[in-house]
Amino acid sequence: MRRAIPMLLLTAIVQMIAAQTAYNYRYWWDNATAVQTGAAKSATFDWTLDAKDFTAGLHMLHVQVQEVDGLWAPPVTTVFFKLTALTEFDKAWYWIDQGSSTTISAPTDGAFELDLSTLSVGLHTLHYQAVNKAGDKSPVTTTVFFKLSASTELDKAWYWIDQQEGEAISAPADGAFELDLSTLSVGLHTLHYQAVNKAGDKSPVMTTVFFKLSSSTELDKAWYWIDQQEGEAISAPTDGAFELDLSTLSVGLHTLHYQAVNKAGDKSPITSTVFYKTSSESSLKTAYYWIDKADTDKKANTAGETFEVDIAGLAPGIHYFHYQAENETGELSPIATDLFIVEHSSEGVNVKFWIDDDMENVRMLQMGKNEVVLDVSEMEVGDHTIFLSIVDKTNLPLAVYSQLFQVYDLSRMGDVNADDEVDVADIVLTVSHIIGKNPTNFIRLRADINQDGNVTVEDIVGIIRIIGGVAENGTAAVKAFHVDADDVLTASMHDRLLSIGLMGEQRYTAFQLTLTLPEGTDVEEAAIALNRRASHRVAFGDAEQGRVTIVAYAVDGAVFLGESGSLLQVLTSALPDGDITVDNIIFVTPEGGTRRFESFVIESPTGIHQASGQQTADGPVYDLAGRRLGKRPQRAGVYIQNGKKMTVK
Amino acid sequence: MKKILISLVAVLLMGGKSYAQTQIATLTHGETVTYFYGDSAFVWAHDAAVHGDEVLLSSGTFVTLSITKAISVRGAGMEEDSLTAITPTILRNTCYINIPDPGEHFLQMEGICFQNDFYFGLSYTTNQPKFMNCQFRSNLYLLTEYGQTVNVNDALFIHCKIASGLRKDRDNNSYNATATATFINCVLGGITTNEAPNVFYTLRNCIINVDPRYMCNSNLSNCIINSTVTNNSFPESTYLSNCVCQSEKAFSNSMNATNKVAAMADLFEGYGGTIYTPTFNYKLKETAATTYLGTDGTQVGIWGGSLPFNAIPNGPRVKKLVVGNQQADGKLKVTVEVK
Repeated sequence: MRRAIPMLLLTAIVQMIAAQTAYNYRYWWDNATAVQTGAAKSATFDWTLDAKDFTAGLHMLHVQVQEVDGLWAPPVTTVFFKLTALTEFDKAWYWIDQGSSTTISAPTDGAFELDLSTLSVGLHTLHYQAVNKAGDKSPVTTTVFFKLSASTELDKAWYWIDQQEGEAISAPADGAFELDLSTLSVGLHTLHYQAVNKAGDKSPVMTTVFFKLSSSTELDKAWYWIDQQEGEAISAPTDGAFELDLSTLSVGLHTLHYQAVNKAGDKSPITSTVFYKTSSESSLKTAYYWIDKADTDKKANTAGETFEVDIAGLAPGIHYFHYQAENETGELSPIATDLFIVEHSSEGVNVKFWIDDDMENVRMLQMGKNEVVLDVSEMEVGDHTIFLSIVDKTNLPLAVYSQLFQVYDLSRMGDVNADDEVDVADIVLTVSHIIGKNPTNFIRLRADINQDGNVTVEDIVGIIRIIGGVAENGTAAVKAFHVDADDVLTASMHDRLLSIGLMGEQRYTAFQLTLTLPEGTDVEEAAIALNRRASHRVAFGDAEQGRVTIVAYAVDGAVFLGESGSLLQVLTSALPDGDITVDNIIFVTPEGGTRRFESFVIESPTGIHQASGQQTADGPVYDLAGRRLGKRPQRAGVYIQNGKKMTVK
Repeated sequence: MKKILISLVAVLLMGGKSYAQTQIATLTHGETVTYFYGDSAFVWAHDAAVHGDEVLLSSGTFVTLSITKAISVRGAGMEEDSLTAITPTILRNTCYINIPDPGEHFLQMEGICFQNDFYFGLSYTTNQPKFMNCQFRSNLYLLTEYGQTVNVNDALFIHCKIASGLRKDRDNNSYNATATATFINCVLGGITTNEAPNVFYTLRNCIINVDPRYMCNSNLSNCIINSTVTNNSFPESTYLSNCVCQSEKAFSNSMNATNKVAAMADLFEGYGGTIYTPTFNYKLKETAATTYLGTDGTQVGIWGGSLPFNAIPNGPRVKKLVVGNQQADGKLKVTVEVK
């Protein structure tokens, strides 16, 4: 039978929704005989109950549902409580235990005093109920309390052990008392204790466990046993040490158990420890060793002695060395292993080399010589590689190396950028190379006009001569010659300005020099002295490890005259905090001759050095701009003579 | 009669006559030697090799692909060294080791710098690979990530520098992997083993940069340890003897009294504050070298032990190779010094 009620089970809802059934319902409350009716279209429905005429308090609602044309279901009943509109607190009453109640007026904070004077000491129950002005009563709340006696002074106590009767003791001032355990047996016991105050109130019983030791703790004897053997008694040693007889034990891991007994017969807990019986070292007899996995090829030696191992037949590389000792009884030690490396032998090695892929012309470097000269005149211009291989005495390679090199068309000297023209672009590129700019598309060999292995300002002059038609390739026309350093250079440093002076009658068309500057100092500007400026150009590079190369040259053959004093002025980026070294000094004459000067040092900031070999007594005097003075200066100032400062005051 | 076989393969592949590339690889198979040129020379030599062959590489940078042969590969060196004029052999690509059926042969690599990540194979167990004088500039994966299970048995590293790795795992995917490896006089930076139960490392006379809690199942002796996290400890599964660490906490699970505590700056001469620096020489201060001793009585770290650190490749080598200036008469002087 299908049933539907206002508070429905889920399963019932599903069934009813599926059936799309209509319902009638009727309800009434309390014991009223009047019944209200209604209709619902689904199994879940609600309606509004008019309860305005209900009295405050508990009521019951009865509901009954009928499937249309069906039977009425049994009524279901629910309880509801109608509150009064008024909730203002009026009064309350309380009562203790089963006593009569006492009414109290409504306190403002809900607190009130309780009169317990007539109550006995002990546990009691307090009941409390409040009433509002409409007469509604709150539920009764109940709480438990303990009335203490007025006196808490300790009067006496008693204790008992195990199941004995309690024995009274007078209350001690500090709560400590002596316990008589003389009649107790050795072992575990329980002590119970309870105190009483002068009002007769008893404390809860406290219980603790203790262990009674025997009166004697003097060690009497002990026994030990190993592994699963029977215990063997030993006399108690004074220091607890005793000798263990392991002669019958096998080599390996064992367990030693130990227990002591005092003269009262009390036994200590058993202590156990693990130990390893090793073979006696004195019985070591033979040592075996083998290499890598060749443990079937063990070699023997006297154990404990140093010995040499023959590794002649071993391949170069990493190898394992294994070692194991054996004693006289044939017992073997654990295997010890370590690594060693066999080097490739240098004996009988050769070096062979070849160019590019030309394996048809592999040549052997003659041993004892470390240089070989290759003829590259027939090779194509461009990049090539020389390959070297170190081979062992069986001609198998041990290492391979390679080095890139270039073959140039040396008939086009001066054409350093390979554009088939020798022009100012080649000069610029060569200057850029000299001052350390590492230009691209620069064929160094074509720039080395005089073929001395270096590219310097001499080669720039050589290129200029080729451009000017003085020589076809510069090589024949330019002949470098070296001269001793003489008194042709001066140098002075004033603040950040370095001045290089030129003396003598020789004419020059180009020069280069390299400054080594103190850390943190760079060249900010470099220029030919004002009175010498013609068509000369000056270039300098960035400081690389403190070194800056300066190049000056004239493309039209303009010359510097030696007598004109200051030649080059260099402004540094900061006041040099240290000496400045000038080296790599090359001066080139219009005819292509070269003068190289020794390096010199300029003390910072006003220290002066001159090219060596020129210091003579009463030498010429120069001002700080490098100008030679005709006579000894009369004006106060700083001058230079014989490479040293001279001050006129 | 020994035969020298000249390979034209590389020449044909190169196609031109310019030899701007200077890399060369030789393949030795028995008494037969084959030569390969260019930056792919190693790939070609490897392709032509069989298990047990030897490949020599010159200085320079080579293309690298998977290594599937149990061969011996020897380069010119693992790092630039102006004193010994060594220019390194560099394998520039990610390197994968996948060697099926190597038989009794093993992979051996010496004097090589691995520029990129290095993986032991994703498909085959690698048995007893050996590395000497090798530098791993990126990660060395003895295990792997992305869930593949990889097994490496008895890997051996001597005088190697390893930037980071041993294992980098995402989501603990290498938990079931197996790896055993020994490091002798090596420098290892930023390493981790996590908690894979079947991974066992032995380190002797090494310098290690590690969070101790990740260094499980390991046996460390005579090592200098820079603990990246000073409040972490080595797990109980790791045994340490005669090691030095700047963090006392690192040894809290190790009852071995031979381990000592010292600041890195008190150990190393010229210590710059970063423990893994490939160019650093890790020389101990004089007092440290006599104070902190290993199990064999020599100093702890890479300069102690029975195999003190040596970055110079084994065997004879060319110390100097200079091609001089071309002379006007078309001659070229080549200077060679063999050491």
